[in-house]
Amino acid sequence: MASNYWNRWWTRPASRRRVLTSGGAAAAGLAGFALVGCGDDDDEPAGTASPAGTGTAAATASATAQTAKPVAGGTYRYIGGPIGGLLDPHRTNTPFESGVIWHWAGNFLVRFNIDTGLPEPDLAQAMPEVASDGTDLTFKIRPDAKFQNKAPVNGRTVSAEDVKLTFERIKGLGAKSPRSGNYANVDTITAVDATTLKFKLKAPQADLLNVMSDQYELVLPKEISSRGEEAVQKPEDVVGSGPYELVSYQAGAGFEMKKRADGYWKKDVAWVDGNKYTHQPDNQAKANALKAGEVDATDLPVDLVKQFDKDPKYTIVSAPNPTRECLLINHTKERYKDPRIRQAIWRAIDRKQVYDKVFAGAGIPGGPMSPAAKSWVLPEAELAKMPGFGTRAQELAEAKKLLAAAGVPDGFEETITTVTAFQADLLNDVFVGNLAEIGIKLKTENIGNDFSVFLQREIRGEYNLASTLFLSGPYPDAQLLIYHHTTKGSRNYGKFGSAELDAKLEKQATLYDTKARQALVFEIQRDIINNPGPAWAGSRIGFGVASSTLQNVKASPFAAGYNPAENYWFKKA
Amino acid sequence: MWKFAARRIVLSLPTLFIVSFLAFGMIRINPDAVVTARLGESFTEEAAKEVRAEYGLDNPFYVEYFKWIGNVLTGDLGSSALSFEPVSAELGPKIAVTLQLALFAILFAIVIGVPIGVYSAMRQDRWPDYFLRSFAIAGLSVPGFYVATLVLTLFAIQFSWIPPLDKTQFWSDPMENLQQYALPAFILSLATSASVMRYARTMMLDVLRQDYIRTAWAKGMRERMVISRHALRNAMLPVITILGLAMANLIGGTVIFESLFTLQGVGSYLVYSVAQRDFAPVQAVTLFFAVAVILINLLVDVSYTLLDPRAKV
Repeated sequence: MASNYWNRWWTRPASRRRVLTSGGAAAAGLAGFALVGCGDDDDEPAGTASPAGTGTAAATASATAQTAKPVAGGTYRYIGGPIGGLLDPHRTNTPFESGVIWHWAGNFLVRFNIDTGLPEPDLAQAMPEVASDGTDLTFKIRPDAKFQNKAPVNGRTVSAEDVKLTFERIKGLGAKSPRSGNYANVDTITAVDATTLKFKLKAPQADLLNVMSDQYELVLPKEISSRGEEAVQKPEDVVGSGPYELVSYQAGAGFEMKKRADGYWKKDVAWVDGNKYTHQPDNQAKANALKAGEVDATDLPVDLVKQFDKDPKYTIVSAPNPTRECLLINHTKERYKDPRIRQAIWRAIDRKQVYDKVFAGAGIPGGPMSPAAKSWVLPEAELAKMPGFGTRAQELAEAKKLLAAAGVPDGFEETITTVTAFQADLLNDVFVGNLAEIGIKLKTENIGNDFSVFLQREIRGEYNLASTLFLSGPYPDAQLLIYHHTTKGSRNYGKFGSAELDAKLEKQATLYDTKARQALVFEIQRDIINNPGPAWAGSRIGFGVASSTLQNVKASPFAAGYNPAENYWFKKA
Repeated sequence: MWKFAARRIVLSLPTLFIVSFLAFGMIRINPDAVVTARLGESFTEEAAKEVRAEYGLDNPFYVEYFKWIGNVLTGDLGSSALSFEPVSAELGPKIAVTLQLALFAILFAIVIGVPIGVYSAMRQDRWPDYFLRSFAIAGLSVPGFYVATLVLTLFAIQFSWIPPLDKTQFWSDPMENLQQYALPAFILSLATSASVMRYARTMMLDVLRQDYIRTAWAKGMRERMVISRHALRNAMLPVITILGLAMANLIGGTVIFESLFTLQGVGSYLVYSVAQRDFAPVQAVTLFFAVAVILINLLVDVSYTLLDPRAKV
């Protein structure tokens, strides 16, 4: 069933809605790549050219799997990576050794829901009570949550103090954490009593809940978090409230975990006996290991996934990656201050061609938000009627009209900067071809294969146009505010500016009511499409392959959103 | 002989100096790349300053270099910026993996290359010779990583087998250990085997034309005796040189093979550290490879003097 589902990616044009609606049905999350760095007011996987998707193979369960009763036992074996060297989830952006280990070993206060893209309670009993116009958030902590029975906590109950010190630590790490900036708006955190926690904000910030649900915001015991910057350095420092304990870990090699001996405090979850993750960045080696039965799951690029398609021994899962490919426009350059030029570029980009040519069809054309963001993304039916999503002939005709109106009917010559990393150079080839169709003749400046150097060029504004990609959490502030706000946009490298848009971006950030916020977020996406900042192209799809004996496999767009530790189980032969 | 060895060690010091200088300097050519790689989009001047200070990038190059050399001489290879562990502690177990792989590969090269070379020489310009020489040319011309990828994929698809991922020490379970190392070592050895085979054949042909061999034939000795007792020993002497040089190449070749076969040795450690821009391990591993190559060459030279007294002159 999953194979048939997956096979449609090759036989039909990619449809964004199909992926959105199949979120619960297919899965992915295994695959991915990562980008270099992330904003300090964001929370994303980054690090140094490391995979961002994570190996958290989350797959869908076929109908049978969903109805079947889980069975305990077996060791989940995964191959992928890189499995890096920094175990501290609050300081790193490399998902395996921090995110994945801690997902098995720990819990969030609130966690990302893969099906809705919204936060949901984990250690919290419920979503917080919001008071004082959105500046007071009060959480009740589950009284039954217990840390593992290991030093220094020895199985004690998780308290509000633990959560408080966790978030204070993240904020206090400053430049040593890619996420400390996310909590700049948090004024004070108070443990009112053992199970009550109060966040006092300087201003309302609805996105704080999304940020808290991100993949690295794991709650540490106060005994560890109070150690400061170097709190989590060694395997023995990995002590959480989750169902599995770290048994062994070696950077660049792998790690193993086993079910906690004292039993997990959540009932009827966490079925497997343990896990074993093996470091292997080579995709062919990963595919071979899966074929040979040495592992139960891995992530693979689209070309290697195909060999598993017709084999009933495997389940193939897929999900959109929160990465967005884009043509970055430098708004400080005189030419691009004219919105008609930017609109022409937006329309001239053939988004379908981008994913057909660069990603073998494994991608979804999109606008300012990645389809991975689920509930926050402009509905597909509406998006299809927006500029840039019409027929090719129609879009080219409109683009030429815009150029003519801007006084450059024959186009112009321009330099476009790119890098040979993460397929940005291939993306560039498509952009160059697309823009040539409206007379914009691009000369490519490829700066080499170091994405971090390229990133510095972007940050310093040393480009006119750039073929690039960005990885951000699949929620509004991370994908909209920081890329488009004039002053709060830490990744607004193109210096795009609009006072009206700024106001809307700020407003949505204060709306705790999901419906109201969603409506405004949609409106912002419409505004950006009509008056582009960066010319967004869409998102690639990540693929994972798992042995069909592994059940409840579901795709997650990134390391958060689906917890294999709680859900995976093996069907007995 | 000790004098000879001491002289060679002294002569290798400049090489070590150059390698250490390059290893240290190469990754500092673009210090900003390291800083931005560490910080990503969290890059701020303040954070960059901290990272520069952490790596000593704000100090003059020579100050950091001599500080590093001083530490290396006392056995301190630095600490990984990612795992915070001393590099020497991380490197130790990986050296065993790499050495085992390289030694197995050398053994395969000898076992395959020498008999085939000898046999080929004995059957010069006949079809077994043509066939075996073609095999040698193929072994030299097809890259090992390509053969490895093909073989692994073939085994995985056709036999649902690859070398086990769970690693076992040789002394705890030799058979299990062989399953892990035999295939990568065999493929890694192919080019060396071909090289050894061609060299052994050439040397054997040369020796077989010598007067003392002709005398042995004239005395009516059997072929096996002529070859094993008189020809082989003299023919193999130069092959030792080839094996020494090959060992150095094999150690370098483990970088790719360890990655393909999921072996956690020095090579895969280097690849991983380069990707992570982790200075200390990259410097340490580069230095390790350099020292290994120098030591191997020294051993070859010394063994040569033992086997052939003329080499002392």
